[in-house]
Amino acid sequence: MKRAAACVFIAGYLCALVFGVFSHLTSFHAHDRLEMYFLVWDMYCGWDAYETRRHLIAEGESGACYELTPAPWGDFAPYGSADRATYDYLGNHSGRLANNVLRHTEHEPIVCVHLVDECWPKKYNLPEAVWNKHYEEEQQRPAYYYLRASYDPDGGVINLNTDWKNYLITESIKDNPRLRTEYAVGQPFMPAVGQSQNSDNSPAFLQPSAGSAMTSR
Amino acid sequence: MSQPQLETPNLQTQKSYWDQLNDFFFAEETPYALALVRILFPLALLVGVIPRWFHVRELYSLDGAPTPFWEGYGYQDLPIIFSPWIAMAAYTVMVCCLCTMSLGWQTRFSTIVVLVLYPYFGLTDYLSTLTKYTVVATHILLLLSMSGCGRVWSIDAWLAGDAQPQKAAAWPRRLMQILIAVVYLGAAVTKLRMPEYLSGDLMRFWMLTNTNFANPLGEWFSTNQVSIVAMCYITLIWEIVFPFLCWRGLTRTVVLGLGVFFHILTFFMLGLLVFPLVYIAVYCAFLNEEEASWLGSKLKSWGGQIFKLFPAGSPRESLFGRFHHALFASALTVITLLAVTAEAQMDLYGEQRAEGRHVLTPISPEREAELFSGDLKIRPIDKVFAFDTGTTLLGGQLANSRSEFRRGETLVAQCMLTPPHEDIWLEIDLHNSDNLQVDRFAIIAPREEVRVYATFPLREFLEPGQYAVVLKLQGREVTRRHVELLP
Repeated sequence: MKRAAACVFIAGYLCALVFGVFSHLTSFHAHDRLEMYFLVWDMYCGWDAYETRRHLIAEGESGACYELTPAPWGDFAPYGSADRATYDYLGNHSGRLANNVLRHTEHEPIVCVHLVDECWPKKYNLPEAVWNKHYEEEQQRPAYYYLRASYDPDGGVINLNTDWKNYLITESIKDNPRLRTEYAVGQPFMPAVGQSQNSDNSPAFLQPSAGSAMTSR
Repeated sequence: MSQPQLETPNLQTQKSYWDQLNDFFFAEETPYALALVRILFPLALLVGVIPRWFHVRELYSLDGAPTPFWEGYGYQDLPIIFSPWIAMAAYTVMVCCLCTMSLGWQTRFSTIVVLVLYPYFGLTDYLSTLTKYTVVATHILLLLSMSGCGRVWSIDAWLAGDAQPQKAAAWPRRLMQILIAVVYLGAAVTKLRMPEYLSGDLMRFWMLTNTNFANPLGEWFSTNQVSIVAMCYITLIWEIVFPFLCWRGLTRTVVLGLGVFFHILTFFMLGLLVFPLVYIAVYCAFLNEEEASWLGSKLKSWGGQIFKLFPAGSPRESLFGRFHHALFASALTVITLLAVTAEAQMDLYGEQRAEGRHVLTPISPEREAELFSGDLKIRPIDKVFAFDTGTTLLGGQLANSRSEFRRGETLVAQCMLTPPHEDIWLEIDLHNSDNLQVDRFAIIAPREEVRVYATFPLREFLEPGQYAVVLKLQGREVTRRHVELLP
């Protein structure tokens, strides 16, 4: 009986592992269900040329802004120097992080919270000695501040833009006048059912999707 | 004169495939290898688990900001996130069980508790706890919970007082080996689907990222493009062949040795910490009975003082032996209560401070203007990731970064653009010491191109002296590299 149970388990486990590899190889339901995260081995992806740090900024009724990252009691940096908000690649959890800070601090009534991505090319992360060996210009790190999302004070998403990388891709495509004209002509006068979700002006294939985002971990 | 040797039949080859499969999974063995995994693997997990203990309220409880992974799949508001004290108690129980699992005290119970709690906490905090090593760990915990890993080198074995260690079927260890091989295969599939991986760009960006732990060796190495590409190919080949070569003979030693080396390098190059520790611990599943026994005896001799706490004899009759179940439960309860009390005293959010709760202070107008300037126009210099000169291209990469050249050589200038970028009109010029253009190369770099090369034959009519290779984007100079032409 024990041996039969072991045989069933071995067969089931091996089938699950094989299905995970097959699913990953063929993109067949690879990210459809939570269980697939435990079977699909899609590590090592989503590493971009830009480094990003995320800032949560609360906007008060008076118009004053308050930085919520780092929190007044200090932020948790899970894997090094970057705080927790930086790992919110999808931008759909940061509202909750902001709400937690607001709940535990004194402040004026808050109107909304903004998630601002601070981005810079990773070449500026080089140590000074290595930089001086390969670059003749000064190592002056720029900062591109990109409004990624806005949330209500309770953490609900008001507006979610594509991430910095997709923004740059979209901009480079929009740079094409012919494509821009065709895109404008192709827009229906009245949105079709279900199209209202894509309120962003960028083409649908550039919208952040759950599938692509999940592969980034 | 020696007698001619009679050829002895290989009994192994006479077995049917079914028998071989049966032996592979159900051979009885003393579970030394899995005992080593059981001892080392929880210690590796503790490296990631302990720092989070101080943030349980914030990461996993209703009084914080948990970020459940399941919400991304449409399971909203599942009532499985608890109050801070329950979260703290559960987390502390998990920490304790990781320790007792390593010690082999109530091994199966400890392993099952960790099997439930470890993925739970990972799934509760998608942002800063859940990673792929959480998934690997869950698989390993599942297999360990069904194995006889506590039958040797454990407090349980010491309490059992058996003269001969108990044997167990090999299948949990075999499934662990297969899991490791399949994970590598999956990782190889991922890499094959990304052209940026084979060009080395992805690894280069990873080496330069600061979202993992410190990796100074990676930052230094990131400019060595040819070596990165070579390592990428070696890793890919190794991941593909691993499932086929990891079982026996010299190839087993080679691929396992490469594996240990690879995982150690991921710490120094990529800033990974827990992942390599987990994997090196799990590699013990590849040791056979003799090897694991030998390694275990070495570990025993290094930690000799600890083992003196467990003298041979009949511990079942000792006070500890008779009450060890009660002692286990009491210790777990007391430590958990202490942890919950201590956490409440920590006052993470500073709400019990004499001066009251923290007050948010407005940011300066300058900072506000900086954050919301909306100026997203990329500077031309930031569109260029690297600009180097040399003489040799290897695999599409500049193999030798040089600033001194001789007449008759060919100067290769390589421009690596920062992806993603728009279609760019790009010009690379050679200027003499009077800043006069002596040679020119121009091209449109389409958005899918990351690298552009210009080659300048350094002909006899060029005077020795200082030159500059000038990079222009959209007609404007962005940067230049000074080179010297030797006679």
